[in-house]
Amino acid sequence: MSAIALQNVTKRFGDVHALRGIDMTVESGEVFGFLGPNGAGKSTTIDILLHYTHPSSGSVDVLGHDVTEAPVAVRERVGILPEGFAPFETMTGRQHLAYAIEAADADDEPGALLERVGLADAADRSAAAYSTGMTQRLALAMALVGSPDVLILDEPSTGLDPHGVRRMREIVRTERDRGTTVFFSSHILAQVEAVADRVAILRAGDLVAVDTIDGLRETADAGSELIVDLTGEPAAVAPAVASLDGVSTVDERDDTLVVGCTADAKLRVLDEIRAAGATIRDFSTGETSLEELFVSYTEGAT
Amino acid sequence: MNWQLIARKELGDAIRNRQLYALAATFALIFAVLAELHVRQVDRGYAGSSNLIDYFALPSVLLVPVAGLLLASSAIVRRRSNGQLTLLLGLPHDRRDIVLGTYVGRYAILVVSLLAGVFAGLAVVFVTGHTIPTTAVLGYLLASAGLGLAYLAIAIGISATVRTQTWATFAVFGALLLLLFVWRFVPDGLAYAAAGFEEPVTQPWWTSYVGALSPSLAYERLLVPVLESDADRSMVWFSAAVLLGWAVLAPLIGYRRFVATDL
Repeated sequence: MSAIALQNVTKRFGDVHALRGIDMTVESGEVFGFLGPNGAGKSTTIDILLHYTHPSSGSVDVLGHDVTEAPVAVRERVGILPEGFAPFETMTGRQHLAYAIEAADADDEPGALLERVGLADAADRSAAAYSTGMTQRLALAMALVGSPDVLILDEPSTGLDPHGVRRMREIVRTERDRGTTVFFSSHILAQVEAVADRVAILRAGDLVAVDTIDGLRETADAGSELIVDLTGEPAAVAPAVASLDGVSTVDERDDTLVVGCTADAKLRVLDEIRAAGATIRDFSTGETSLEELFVSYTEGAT
Repeated sequence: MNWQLIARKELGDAIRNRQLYALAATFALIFAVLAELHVRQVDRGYAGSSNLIDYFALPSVLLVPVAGLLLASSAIVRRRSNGQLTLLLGLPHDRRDIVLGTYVGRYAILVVSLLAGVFAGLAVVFVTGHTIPTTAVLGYLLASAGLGLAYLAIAIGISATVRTQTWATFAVFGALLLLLFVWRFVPDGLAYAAAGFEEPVTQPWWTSYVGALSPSLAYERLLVPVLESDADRSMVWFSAAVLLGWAVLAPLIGYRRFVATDL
């Protein structure tokens, strides 16, 4: 069974189309990264998953429950680290956990959860005095209450220092190993790359790509370029290069050959050029990194 | 069904931030002072023991509605705009739990404060060796608790409906002006209009019922049998029904609006 399933979900705020028909399935037990620039609709999607926001059309199922019809059933089995929340100003960190444990009818130990997110030292201080990063840790601890089947984290690294980011990553891995599905959004590719099994890229309310990290990397590699300066006429070797495996394009520019190919084909291209009798004066490669791929996917978005 | 948890948290919040103590102390002080005034009148022979309710009714006409409105007007909308609702609704809570729990929790604060006031007043009467008109006090407490419930319900309804605290403040202030003052002229105005914009010869039977649609006016009619012995019974029942009607309908309307909108 899929943990999260969105079917043709749209959301309009007045004239603004925040989501333009999202179809997406998150399988049970996977870590799913939700990437996109600011304002692409990531938080809107997450708000819809938790039924904070009503979708304009489409259906949203979490763990087999329609979120519009059974929001509480969803919230019982989902731990959420939302965006733009505030702690209760009259309560300490420990009291927050005690409340969440009671609400979830769980038997967790507040101290143990606070320890896990690195907030044990501040457990008995008023949460109103917490920094952004501490508030973030507090909400993560609350999300972990009752060992949820699904964790939804909206920009989890917001306000966290490098230690906090690493701890967050460790917690995500531990939870995944326990069998938890983790769905998290980020506008920073490196964070998604580090932990996600699969990634969706959102751009201006549209899904532009859903793939594994490896799949994305292959797409990026396929876009590699090899630029070879020759002493002779490039036209003489171009046909031989073009016939090689893994070569997609061959362009001749003055005495330079620009070859679009996969990463592992580069050496074969150089060998072929020499075998054809041309002399290589210099060569360089233009790598398309994942970062560039992400940028190219999301270019033009606001 | 997690509304009890929210209600308990609301009450706990009021204890932790000392709002409950401040409100209860205010009530206690005012009622004690009025009880003292009553006791002096009794000592001089100007009043009987049952006149205590006349004194108690003075603050409750304004203090109870204002306390009810202030306690609840920002209860939901403030948590909505500052993000606490986002955190709460991430837990297994329904939006109904939020409205109902806030309503019950805040009402508990109001009732405790009202009781603190009345008991402080009664303590003054008792300590100075005077008689406590027990039945009248009970009737007064019941009516005042009903008045507080109606106004608190109105504020909960407003708080669940509007999106900013500014609007909540305006709406609550408008509701108080309308229901406490303006409504006193509405029945006569309607009777005037019904008589073809002329002074009606006799008051139509329904004017007092229209008047009692305001919780404040209904409360004044509920106090009639407490203060005097004879009262129009149907009017009393109607007034009690009005208070209950506000208590149910206002939060229900607010809730329906609240579930239909985005957080």
